[in-house]
This record gives sequence, structure tokens and C-alpha cells, in this order.
Amino acid sequence: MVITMHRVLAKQVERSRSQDGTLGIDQLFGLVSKTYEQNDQDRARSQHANHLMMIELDEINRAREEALQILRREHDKLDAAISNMAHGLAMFDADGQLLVCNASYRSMFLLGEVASSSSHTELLSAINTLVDSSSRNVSYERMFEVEESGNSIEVTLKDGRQIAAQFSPLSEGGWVEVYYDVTESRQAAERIRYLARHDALTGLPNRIVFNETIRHECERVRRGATASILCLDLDHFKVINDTLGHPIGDQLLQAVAARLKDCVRAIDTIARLGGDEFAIVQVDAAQPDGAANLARRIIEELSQPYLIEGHQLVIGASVGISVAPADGDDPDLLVRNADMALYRAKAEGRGAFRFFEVGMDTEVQARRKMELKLRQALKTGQFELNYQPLYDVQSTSISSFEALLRWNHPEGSVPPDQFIPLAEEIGLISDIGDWVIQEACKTAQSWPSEIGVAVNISPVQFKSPKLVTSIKRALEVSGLDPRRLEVEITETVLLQDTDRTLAVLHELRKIGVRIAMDDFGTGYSSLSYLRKFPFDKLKIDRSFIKDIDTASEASAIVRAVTELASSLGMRTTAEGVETDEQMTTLCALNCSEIQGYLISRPLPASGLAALFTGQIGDLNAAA
Amino acid sequence: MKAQQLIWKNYAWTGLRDDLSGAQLVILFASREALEDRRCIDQLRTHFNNAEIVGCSTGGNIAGGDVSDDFAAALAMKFDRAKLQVATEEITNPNESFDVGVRLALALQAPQLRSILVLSDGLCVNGSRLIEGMRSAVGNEIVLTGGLAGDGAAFNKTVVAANGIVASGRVTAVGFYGAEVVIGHGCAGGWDAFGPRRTITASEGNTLYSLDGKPALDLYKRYLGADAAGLPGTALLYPLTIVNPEQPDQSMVRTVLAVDHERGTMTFAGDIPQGWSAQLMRGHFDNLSAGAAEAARSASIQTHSPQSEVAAVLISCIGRRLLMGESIVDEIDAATKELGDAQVIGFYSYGEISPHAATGCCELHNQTMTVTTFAEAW
Repeated sequence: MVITMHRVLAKQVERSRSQDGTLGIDQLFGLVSKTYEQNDQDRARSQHANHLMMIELDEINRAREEALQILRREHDKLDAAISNMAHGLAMFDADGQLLVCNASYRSMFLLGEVASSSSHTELLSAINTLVDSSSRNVSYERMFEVEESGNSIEVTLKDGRQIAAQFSPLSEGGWVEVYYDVTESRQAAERIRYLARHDALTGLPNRIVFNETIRHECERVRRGATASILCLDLDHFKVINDTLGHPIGDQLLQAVAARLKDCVRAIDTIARLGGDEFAIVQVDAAQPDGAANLARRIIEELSQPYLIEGHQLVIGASVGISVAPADGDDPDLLVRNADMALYRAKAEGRGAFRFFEVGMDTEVQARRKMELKLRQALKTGQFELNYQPLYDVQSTSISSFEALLRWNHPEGSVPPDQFIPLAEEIGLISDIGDWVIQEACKTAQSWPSEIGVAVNISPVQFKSPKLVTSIKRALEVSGLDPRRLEVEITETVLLQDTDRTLAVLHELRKIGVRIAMDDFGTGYSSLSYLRKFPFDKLKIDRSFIKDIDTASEASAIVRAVTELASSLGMRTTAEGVETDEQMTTLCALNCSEIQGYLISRPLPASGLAALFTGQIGDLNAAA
Repeated sequence: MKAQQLIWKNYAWTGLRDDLSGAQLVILFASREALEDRRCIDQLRTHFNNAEIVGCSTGGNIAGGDVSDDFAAALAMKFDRAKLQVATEEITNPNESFDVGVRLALALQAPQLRSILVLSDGLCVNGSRLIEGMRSAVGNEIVLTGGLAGDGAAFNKTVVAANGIVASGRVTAVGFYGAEVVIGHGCAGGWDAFGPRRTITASEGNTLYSLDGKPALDLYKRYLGADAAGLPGTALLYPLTIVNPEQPDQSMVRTVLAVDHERGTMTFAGDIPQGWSAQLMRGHFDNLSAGAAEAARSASIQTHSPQSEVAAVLISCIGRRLLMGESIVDEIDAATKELGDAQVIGFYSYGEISPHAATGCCELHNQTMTVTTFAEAW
């Protein structure tokens, strides 16, 4: 029998043979036994290693589980963030297959459940059916082809929603699309833009649009077109506001705007420039007839009565016109010229239109010159106060003087009715008024203590918040007893901001200043004014005095006024008394004071001394 | 070419042939003690008076199809046409390895240089740097083979013999010249990676500090269990395969040379680059033997020559012997079978030098069987 020995054993047998060929049994057993031991050892090592490996793999598995859980939590967080974001999000791989999309994306494009295997092409064609084709352009089609980050486009859907899309490539190929519903913000932006360019009250374009339009038309004019600019404002609109209140005034402006719209063609532009100022740019009409016809139509339409909250209102309009290119092709110049024409239209009696003429410019220049002179006058002391006495019928003596302003210009004196309105218009009246009060108080302080001084306060001055301070200061500086100062106001003062006006009057009254109503009997002469404020005195307008001996109505009115004043505890002054007869009548009508040439003309302060020394005794005799 | 395997046993060489007395080269592998005893060298010198005798201490000598520390093995080679030259350099610090490699290579550099066989001190050399140095001087075309000397499983002292001197801290290299020189080479491990893949988190040159942020030595101690007492030798049971994450298909095997219990570090026979991944390996007897056969087959098919005998030098890792014990004859048997009539000797080393099986680039290997075959052809 042949035994096939294991290689190792064969080698060991060989090693165990001595040189003579005999087998060393002990040596062989030793080698074989060693082999067994080594194999046992190897097995033990393998088991040990396997055991450790198992432990290590367990640890690794556990760590991996934990990592997976962390990842899962991160994923859940991310998923929640993506799912709950208001923007639509879709992510595609490099082959254009959808990787992930959120609920906003699906609902934004009405996609329902999107299959995870959807391709970009499929989704895009589904979205395309919703897109308003007029809003789709080349950039939309190409957005997904251009591999640049931050590509962004905007489309409008057929249902009106505006969607902005942004495309960002991913570093490993593929890309992310983010969609924003920008409908609201675009609408808001549109609204803001509209509001910035339109008048809130009438909805008409505002000055910004008007200026743009003119600039645009001036460009066209330079290329051969024609255009006209019509500036218009409402005649005496302020009175409506003052008497009926702003709400009515506002409704009137709205009604005016509506009528203006009916007067022009769609290609013309109407703008409200502020207050009751409107302007129209008329284009592509034969000029100047086109502008004249339009102005005529506007004046006629606007002059028709308005019915607003039960009030029937009638208001006129004045229009100034400049025509391009005849009156210029520069926007500023055209507007200035139209304004000048408007100024002329108003100056000539309102309710009319005027084309710009070269001469108007000269007039305005003259007015500007006057303005400069007026400013100069205050600085160089060209103003002077004259004083006209008021004669007290009862005491048969001069009770006070009315201070009257004179402008002694080197080229000749300028009457107050020429420069006062201008001073009011250019805001110089407060400074002049202050000077008048100071000067009057100072002068009066040098008079006998029983004689007062009266100062006229213009309605514009009354609007200044400084008036009371200014009067107090003049009294303080001069040392004049406030009871010797009388302030004369016209009823126009009471037409404006009545509450404030009354507060000012009461404050003046509180410090002792007396208040007189000037020119009573003209204007509205509403008796309600007399109820609103207890005037110290009513000054009866000279127009009644002039006719007092010839017209019985005049005498009846004067009697009524004096009786009314007497019953209200007010004194009365008759203005413009020139004859003895007038004085006799007025005395008979119980008028308290007489003022006029019969007593004395207005005199400079230096000429008053004689009046204080009883030279009016003759008058007493006459009375 | 003629070649003859010689065996030193009972203080005498057997296998000496008269027709080889003119041999130009004798390669000698013996235990450190036998080399330091010098008798084996002296007897060779007597017989081969013209030959360069080079050799080194080992972790086991291979001859006659067997492995033993008791006998020494020598290979006498007589070339018909080829020329050879020996160069030797001293090394006292592993940091000098690259420079020593460069100096050796430059000393041997000449036209017709075909291949270099390197035998180096096994303990005070960074083998990777040594080979890099040589390669940088002679280029990638020259085949570098050889190994690091061994000291059984003791890792105390290794010696290199050349020019009649037996000493530590030396590297000797033999250059083979001539168009007729035919060199075959093969290198295979047969080890299997196991367990988790780890990251080399701290290392410096060939010193490893930590894997996955934990001390590497602790890991080895855990896996070695009772065998830990035999460190550093027993660490050879678990070589490390390391991979550059940027070239995942080119793995290398590293084996332990020394450990520092205080610092918890391990020194390997080659570089352990930080950031690479590492995995423990273990050997199955059959797979290791199959690896040895593969290495021999690869070398053998490169050196068929009708004009020449073939000589083969097997250099296998001490770790393989440590693991396989008595069964180590299996891998010698498997390799020898592939080499046919070739005259075969070899030794168990602390590091093997051979072109990488995949890249062809000459490198230091660990835990492998490398086979170099020599022949002449024209």
C-alpha cells in the first residue's frame, strides 16, 4: 500500500533522515507536533482576528447607523425647508431628469403629483401651456440652455400671475430652478409707479408726467411737428375752498378733471400741476386754431354749473396758451410762456383764454423790476407812515390816528393799491407789516396819552404765525400802552381759517389791543362775523358815506349799522367824510367817530403837532 | 551562463563544481551568526578566487527546496559575456537612505547597465527612500531587485557582506551589464485585506502614529492578543495594505520593523503617507503559496534561454515564514515548481525590492515573495 504523504510531512521526513538514510523518529515527531501546534496557533489567531473584526464591524455599523440617522434628520430638515418654502423649487440632473421638486412648484404650475422620473422637457411643456404667450420671449426659451448662474427671467401666466424664475447650475452637472410668484410685488411696484406719476385726487397725470410729455413733444417739434401747451386755473377757486370747505373743493376739482378729460382727445395729455392749476399738452392739431378751439371748449364746459353735495357751484376758468414751435421749442420756455399768457388772461378779467405774445414777457419783466424796487425800499427806508385822525363826536376831540403806508420812491410815490398786492404775492408783506406796526407804535408813544393809533393788518399778514409776537414786540420796544393800539382787519381775514384767526384776535384782545372791522358793508358783510368776535369798532365803508345825503338807502344802511353796533356795544367810524352835511347826518345817526378830509388829510408824523393843540375847535363849532 | 546552488552545512559547502570555479559572482545568504563566524565566506573565497562575494544575514535561508536557519545558501554565477560591478556604501541613519541610494546608483551607472541587485542592512535603512534615490539616478528602465537583510525574528542586528567585510550599516549593490543579460522578476503577496478600511491620520515618513485618530500600536496589540509579547516581530502577522485615495488601484503592502511602546508608534519598512487609507491583512497558507507561485511564474517566463542556465533568487518576507511556520515549505515548493531547472536560493527578508507588478516601477515591498531570475542570451 502506497501512502501519499502531505508535502510538509514529506519534507519533515526528509529532514529527519540521517546521512545513512535512517529515519530519526523523535525528530520527525517533534517536527510534526510543531506543525500541529502552529496550525492550532494559526486557527486561534484567525478566531481572535475574526472576533475583533466582528466587534469593529459592529462599531462601524453602529456609527454608520448613527450617521445615517443624522443624515436622515438633516434630510428631513432640508426636506421640510424645501417643502415649506414659498418659492417653487425644482432640481434636475445633468440629463434633465427631475431630482426633486417641492409643493410650491407643483401648485404654482398646477402640476398635481409629479412623477419622479419626469424630464425637464415634459415639465417645461406642461408649464408652457400656462404661460401667456405674449410674455414669453427668447430669453425664456434659452434660459435653460445657457449655463450661467443667476440667469433670471419673468413670465406672465394666463391667469395673470407673474412668475420670476432663476436658474443656477450645479457643480456636478444639472441645475436648480427657483420660481418666485412676484405678482404682488410687481403690482405694488406698478402701483407705486402710478402713484408717483399721478395726482392722488383727480387721477390725472402729475407734473412729472407733464414735464416728460413736453420734453417728448419738444423732440417731435424739432422734427417738424406742432404742439400747444394750455395752462389753466379756476377763477376764484380759493373762495370755494374757504367758504364751503376743502371736501367740497376737492370734489369740484374731481368734477373739473372729469370734464377736462371729455374735452381732449386720447392723444393729448392733461395734468394737474397742483391746487387748481391744470395743464394740457395738445398734439397733432392745426395751430393755433386747434388750441383756441380747445381753450374755448374747456372754458365753456368748466363754466357749466356743478352740483356738489347739494351746492350748485359756478366757477370760471382762465387759459394761457403757448404754441410750439412759434413760441419756442424748449420745454421750460413753452411752459413759462403759457403761464404768462394765463397771467394775462386772469389780469384781463378771467373766464378767457390768451395766446402768448412777445409783449407779455416785457410786462413780466416790469413786474420783476418792481419787485426788486420793493425789496430795496424796505432796506433803504423809502416807506413812510402818514396819519389820518379819527374825530370823536361825543368828546369833540381826536381820539386816534389811522397809520397809512406811503412809498416815496425816488421816481415818484407809488400808491398802496399798486404795491401791497405785489408785496403780498412775493411774501414781503410780513416784513413791511412789522415795520409799520413798530413805526406806528413808536410814533404814537410820542403823542398825548389819550390818543391811540390804528394799524391795518393784511389778510396775508394774518396767516403768518409771527403776527402776535411781532405786535407784542412793537409794544414792548415802544413802551406804548396796548390799549392805545387798534388793529383794523377786513372781513377777508375772517374768511380764512376762522378758528385760527379768532384765536389770534382773542390773544390780541387779551393783551389790551382793540380790534376794528374795516370797510364794513362791502363784500359779504355777513352778520355772523359779528357774532363770532366782539369787535370794538365797525368802520363804515366810504361808499355809503359818499351817498348818505343823496340816497336814502345809504342813509338807511348807515343807520342800521350804527344801531346794530350800538346794541352790540361797538363803536362806529364813518370813513371818507368830506362835507359838513355828511358830518351832521352822521352825528344824527349816532355815529361815534368821523374820519376823512373834512377833519384832515393823512399827514406825516411831523405835521401832527398842530392837531394836538386844539385847532379843531372850528369843527366843534361846525358840529 | 552557468550557475550552481551551494549549501553550507556542518561547516562545509556542498555542490561545488569545478566548471564554476571561474565564477564572477557568488551570492551568499546565511544567519547573522554564520556570517559573523566568517568560515562560510572564507571557504567560498578559497574556491572562487575571482568572484565578488556578496551576501547578507537573513530570517531563514532557502536552498534545496527547503527553508532553514541552520544551513547557509549560496549561488555561484559564471557569465559568458555579461559584466558586473559591485558598489558598497555605509549608512548610519535612515534619513541618509535617499542619498545612499543615489551614491550607489551613480557608482554603478554606466552604458549597458541592465539591472541592479541590492542587499541592504535591514534595520537602519528606509528602504523606500533608498530605492527612490537609486531610481532617481539611473532612471526607471533599470530593473532594481533585492532585499533588506534579516535577523531571524529578533530585529536586533543585521549585517551585509561585501569585499570580505561583514558589517551592519552597509548597503551593497551589484550591477549587471551587457545586452546579453536577461533578468526576470516577479513580485506577489497573496495576503488578503480584512476588516475595516482605516485612514492614516498621523504619520511621518515611515513612522505611523494613528489610524482613524487612534494610536496604531493599540490596534496591533489588540489584534495580536497574546502574540503582542513578540512585537515587533509578531506585527508581521498583520501587514498593512495602504492605498493612495487618488490612485485607488495601486495598493502597497507595508510591514512593521520596530515599535515604540512609550510613544505608541510603529516604524514600517516603507513610507506610510498621511491621508492614505490602510487596511489590515492576513495570510492564508494556500493564498500565500499561490502568490509565491505567481511571482516565480512571472519571473521565469522572462528568462528562457537556450544558451544559458538560469539562476533564481527568491526573497520572501519574514512575516510569511512567521505565519506559516513549518508549512512555509509550501510556498518554496510552489515557487520552485514554476522555475523548472533553475538553480534556486533565497532568503527571508525584512523588505523586498522589485518592480511593482502593476506599475513596473521599482519599489520596496513588504510581505511579498519576490523572484529575480538571471540568464544570458544572444
